[in-house]
Amino acid sequence: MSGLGPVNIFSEGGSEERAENARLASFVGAIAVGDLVKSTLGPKGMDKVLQSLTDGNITVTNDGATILKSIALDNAAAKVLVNISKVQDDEVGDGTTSVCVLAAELLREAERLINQKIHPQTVVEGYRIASATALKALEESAVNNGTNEALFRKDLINIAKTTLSSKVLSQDKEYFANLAVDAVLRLKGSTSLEHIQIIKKIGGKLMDSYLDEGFILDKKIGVNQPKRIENAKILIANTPMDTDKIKIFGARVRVDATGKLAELERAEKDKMKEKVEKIKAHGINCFINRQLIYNWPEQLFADSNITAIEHADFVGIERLALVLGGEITSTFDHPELVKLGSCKLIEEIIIGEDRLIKFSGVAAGEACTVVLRGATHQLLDEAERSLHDALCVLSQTVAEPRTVLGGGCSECLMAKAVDDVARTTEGKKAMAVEAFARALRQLPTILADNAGYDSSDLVTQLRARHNEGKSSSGLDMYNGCVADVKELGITESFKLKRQVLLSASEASEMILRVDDIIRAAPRQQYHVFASFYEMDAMMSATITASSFNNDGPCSDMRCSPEQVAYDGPVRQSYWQSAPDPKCGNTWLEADWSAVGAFDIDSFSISYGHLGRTFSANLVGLAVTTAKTATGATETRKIPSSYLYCNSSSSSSSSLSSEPAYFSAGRLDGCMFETGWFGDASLFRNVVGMRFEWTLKAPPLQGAVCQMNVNRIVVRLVSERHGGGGLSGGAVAGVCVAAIGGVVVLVYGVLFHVRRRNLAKRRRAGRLL
Amino acid sequence: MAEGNSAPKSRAFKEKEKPAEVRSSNIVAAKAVSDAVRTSLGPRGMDKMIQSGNGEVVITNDGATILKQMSVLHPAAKMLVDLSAAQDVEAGDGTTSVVVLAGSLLTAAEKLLEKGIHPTTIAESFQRAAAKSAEYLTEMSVPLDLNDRESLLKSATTSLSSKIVSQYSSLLAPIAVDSVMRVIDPATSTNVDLGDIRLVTKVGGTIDDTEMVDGLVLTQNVIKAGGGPTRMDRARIGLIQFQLSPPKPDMDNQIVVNDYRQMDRILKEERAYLLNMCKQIKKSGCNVLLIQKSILRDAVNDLSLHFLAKLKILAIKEIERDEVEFICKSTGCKPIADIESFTEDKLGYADVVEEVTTAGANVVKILGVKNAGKTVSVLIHGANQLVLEEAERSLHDALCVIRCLVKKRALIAGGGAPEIEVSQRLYKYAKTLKGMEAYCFQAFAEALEVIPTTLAENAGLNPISIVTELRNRHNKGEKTAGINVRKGIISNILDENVLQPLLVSTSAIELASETVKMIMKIDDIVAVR
Ligand SMILES: Nc1ncnc2c1ncn2[C@@H]1O[C@H](COP(=O)(O)OP(=O)(O)OP(=O)(O)O)[C@@H](O)[C@H]1O
Ligand SMILES: Nc1ncnc2c1ncn2[C@@H]1O[C@H](COP(=O)(O)OP(=O)(O)OP(=O)(O)O)[C@@H](O)[C@H]1O
Ligand SMILES: [Mg+2]
Ligand SMILES: [Mg+2]
Repeated sequence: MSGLGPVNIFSEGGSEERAENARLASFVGAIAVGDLVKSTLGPKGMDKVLQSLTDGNITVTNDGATILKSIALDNAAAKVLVNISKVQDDEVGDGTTSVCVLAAELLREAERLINQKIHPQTVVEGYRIASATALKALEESAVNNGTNEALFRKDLINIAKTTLSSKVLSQDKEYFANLAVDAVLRLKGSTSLEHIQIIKKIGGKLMDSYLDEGFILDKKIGVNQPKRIENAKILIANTPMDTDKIKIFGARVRVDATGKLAELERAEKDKMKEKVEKIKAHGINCFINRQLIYNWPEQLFADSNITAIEHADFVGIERLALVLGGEITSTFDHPELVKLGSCKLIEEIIIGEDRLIKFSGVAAGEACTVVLRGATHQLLDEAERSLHDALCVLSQTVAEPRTVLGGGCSECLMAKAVDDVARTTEGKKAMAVEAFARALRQLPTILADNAGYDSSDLVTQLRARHNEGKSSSGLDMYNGCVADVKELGITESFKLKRQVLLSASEASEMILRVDDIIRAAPRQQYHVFASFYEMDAMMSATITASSFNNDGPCSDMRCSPEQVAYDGPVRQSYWQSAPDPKCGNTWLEADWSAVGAFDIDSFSISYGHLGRTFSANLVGLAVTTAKTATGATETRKIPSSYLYCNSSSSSSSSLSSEPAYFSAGRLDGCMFETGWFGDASLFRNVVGMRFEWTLKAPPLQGAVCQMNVNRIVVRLVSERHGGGGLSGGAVAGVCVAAIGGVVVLVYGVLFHVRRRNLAKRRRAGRLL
Repeated sequence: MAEGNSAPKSRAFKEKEKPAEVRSSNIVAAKAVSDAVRTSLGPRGMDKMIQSGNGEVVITNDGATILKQMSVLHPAAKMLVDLSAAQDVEAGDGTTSVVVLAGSLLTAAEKLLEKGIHPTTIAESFQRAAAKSAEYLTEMSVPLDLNDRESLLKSATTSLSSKIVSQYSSLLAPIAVDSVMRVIDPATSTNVDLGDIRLVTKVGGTIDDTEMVDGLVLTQNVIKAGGGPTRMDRARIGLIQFQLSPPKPDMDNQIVVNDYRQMDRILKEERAYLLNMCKQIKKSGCNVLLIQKSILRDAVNDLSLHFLAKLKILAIKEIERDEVEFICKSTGCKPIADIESFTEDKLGYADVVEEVTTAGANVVKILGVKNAGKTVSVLIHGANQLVLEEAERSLHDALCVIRCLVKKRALIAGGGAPEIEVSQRLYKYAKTLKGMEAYCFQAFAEALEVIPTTLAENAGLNPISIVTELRNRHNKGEKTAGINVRKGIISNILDENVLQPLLVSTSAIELASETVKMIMKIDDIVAVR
């Protein structure tokens, strides 16, 4: 059994696995996950490279949650572990590896007990006793320095250092620990990290990173506008400051003279001017907009000495509003009701090669920005994750100031308490209690293993020390010996350790209680993504599963073909036209009437050309659909405003003012949702499609174009249409049902296919 | 170690093997990348000709460019590419050295791994050694006064000496120095925004024709269609962001034409509309008009160009939006987005705006600007596109070198001297250390010698004897003994005027060891979505 990749345990057709088998599958999956991450544990833990299958991008990380989040898993129990590590990440931020490793070790111990014919329920009982005992011991060992400011700061620094010592920042942990503590103490007890902004700028080295009060925005100040403002009054808005095409689109004017058009144009400009006047009436000297600000309003702002910043991203602007103490506004009729943001100084600063805007002396005094510098993207990303871990733990510790000792000390201490209880426990339960203690001791063992020391020797020593009553003994992983970790300052937050203990024992209990894995029945309608490879592969290749579950194989509602299982080889090619020198009039045709009819939900197309200069060409798109029932075909031109285009070139593509055309840059991807099309009936019940491009003007000499239809999303509606029987499709979900039906986790890889053609149904069921 | 303790039987052994395999595969891949650029280090280094997937050819000596063009797949190889890019951002020069250094450090690390030293220990010791090296380098460096033009010129020349354009360094080095000095205030600046220096390339002539223009150079040409002026003295420059073409509101519109008379009227109106605008422009005193490109409709049409020509306004179209900021800064004009606000106060003033033909290429020069911001344009000429691009990159390197000196005003010798000196000092320091760390420091010290070794190799000298002699000389206290590539001997490199910024070397060593640390800590490569 390999520790990597999906552990595929279910045969394609099987729907239920019982007792032994089910449990075995759970153990194998969970332990494999534990083994995968355990080498990253501790100060000498290693990192993993996560390499994306789709684009080859790499991430280097030591963070358990990040690793687990990204691997594809097909095993329910393994997913439970991924889940607890995620919860740990959300709640405490650190300890995400520990929790997963502990749970896996608990299961490993349990497996052994079950092999010795001890009933799972007995193991569960023993584990419960042990976990309660461990928790009590942990609580007793916790120290609270929350009332003594100096001591508490030292605690915080130590906690930050412990957290950082297993990460890229370990070399400079002293520096970053101080930085993180300073940042967190600014929050004055709040756990919302929103006030701490992290900006990553490539170049420099990690030690060049710094903490700065205030807020830094990675944007530019408009041309000719003040680059430095003192006592800034800031209006933060989300409003169109270009002309809003979508809205005007419906309207049409007929005039009989150019002069009228000029008047119209003037009226439009005046309207914008009026809007700017209204904004100015707020008495501001800085205007920040989430959307673009075009030349005209930009100039108007410049004329009145107002700094205008356009296109701040959404998260950025929300945070900006929070930090500046303003509100995001989109109407400007009542200046008196608008809450303006303010700060002492706005200025431009250079970090690396970029100019950014810095807001200092902001309304929310707690706000600050950490500027991270580092050699590469991977390094910066990992540094951010590490710093985030530290910030999280610290803010949690400020709220719950108790601390415990790290370096395997707490684990040993708990194990000792558990062992003591085992001696007084009756029956076979005692074995389970002992097993729990062993699992706890695995954590120091792994710490030592990872550092390349003799773990059995070290852990035996450690145990002896604890038995002698030296309850602050732990592992010093820099010198490879047992030491007083209290003196070394290896401190961890109590909340973290408690959460690790509780989550791990809960998860192992839950998995232990599984004795049945059934594949769930479909619940409701789901999306199925169809990718056009070749039409004959429509059956197998295109109908692939997707779910709304982020953990599923297709997240973000996107499935790329290699992630989804289906019969037959992967053929990943687009449905693509031949290069065409005319750049238009090329159509693509598909026919899947042999398979059945589909409702098309949306599709994406791209239009690319190889010519050197091809700026701002207007391309129109028409779609012809063919229907089964009537055999009729229908053609519809698609208005440009319904296409959602995403241009990859700098000479941007955009909706053109010509409704039937979109203006294309060098390579454009466009989305189209049939729902927007007003009358969606055209895309219901379709057995074939044809795409046709037309060009407004003749192409430039030497241009060659190609059109692709990348992905068609077909919606399959649940059995509204056909007769009951087979519930319209196949199911590949996994459901873990706990005994007594307490917990039902549905890991939905569910989908549901509607088929017109009843005869094809069975085949479909098999394929899926 | 863990075996006895827990269940997984044979698995424990296998699991241990995998990390080692992953690590060695990473090291092999990274070293391959480093070997690929090794031959282009130093003044006698070779250039690479790279043909990209779409058939475009690039010839370059610049490490960052070479690596960017190579499409590497292996994660560790990618990290080296990123490393070189990072050095490019941070220092601009030394992008080859940094990768060569990283390769050599990895070789050293490999040997240490074989000795059974834990990867984390190696990685961390290397980082400490790097910090120590930076310290030594700083000690060795000599402070620089930005008014010391001689030293600045020498540093720029050193950077240029390894490029195709090295024979022109007597021309390019002063350009680099003067451009930077023009845009900063030597007394107070601690950084240079290279965005204030505009490099314009034009095919035609030779690199000899390259010049720095105290003013602005535009690659767009003057519109001659209407017979308008191509030279303007006492120019009043306006930059418009609106269009001089028939009106076109954002609303969908249609002009309904019923008969010929009406058509006539429409044409007349259009004419009047455009003429009006042009007149208004003229009225403000503007005689040079820069027109921003428009996506949605023509920025100008024949008719308006005709009017502009008649009104003796010099017109230049196709100004990109992202150029606007720079143009405004250089000419002191303000962009105008609406005809109504076309007023005199938005105009910039220049003594002369003229389209000139230098070395077979047409450019527009705007000279003698009043109230100009601190910007400068450099017009680079070259016989063909390939040379031109490399010249631009080389000049960029030289500008970066000067920028480094502005950021950190200290210089060190080049030609392998600093590396050998640091290496010697580290050897001595290592003797004071205990255990594994001493080993690692020694290995690090040895790895630094890769720079002089490679410089010698590339110059066709015997690397072993050169490096040995270098060590001896440095032992005797000749801190600036380096490889005199021209004569093929060891000499005081300062006499050869080979000087480089401290920042380039410190950043190279620190960045390289940071990347090596990352590579060493990896024990697994996991495929994810
Ligand atoms: N200097 C040290 N000496 C010994 N043990 C240490 C030291 N610093 C940290 N540790 C231990 O290392 C463990 C933490 O390791 P690590 O940070 O890799 O995993 P995690 O916190 O569980 O997960 P993650 O950080 O990935 O969310 C803790 O048990 C901690 O006590
Ligand atoms: N005239 C010279 N004599 C001896 N050594 C020189 C001379 N000029 C430069 N060097 C040395 O050559 C090395 C720089 O080589 P080169 O410019 O090819 O690579 P780089 O600066 O690392 O990368 P790149 O310029 O591609 O960004 C430096 O170590 C420098 O000291
Ligand atoms: Mg941690
Ligand atoms: Mg160089």
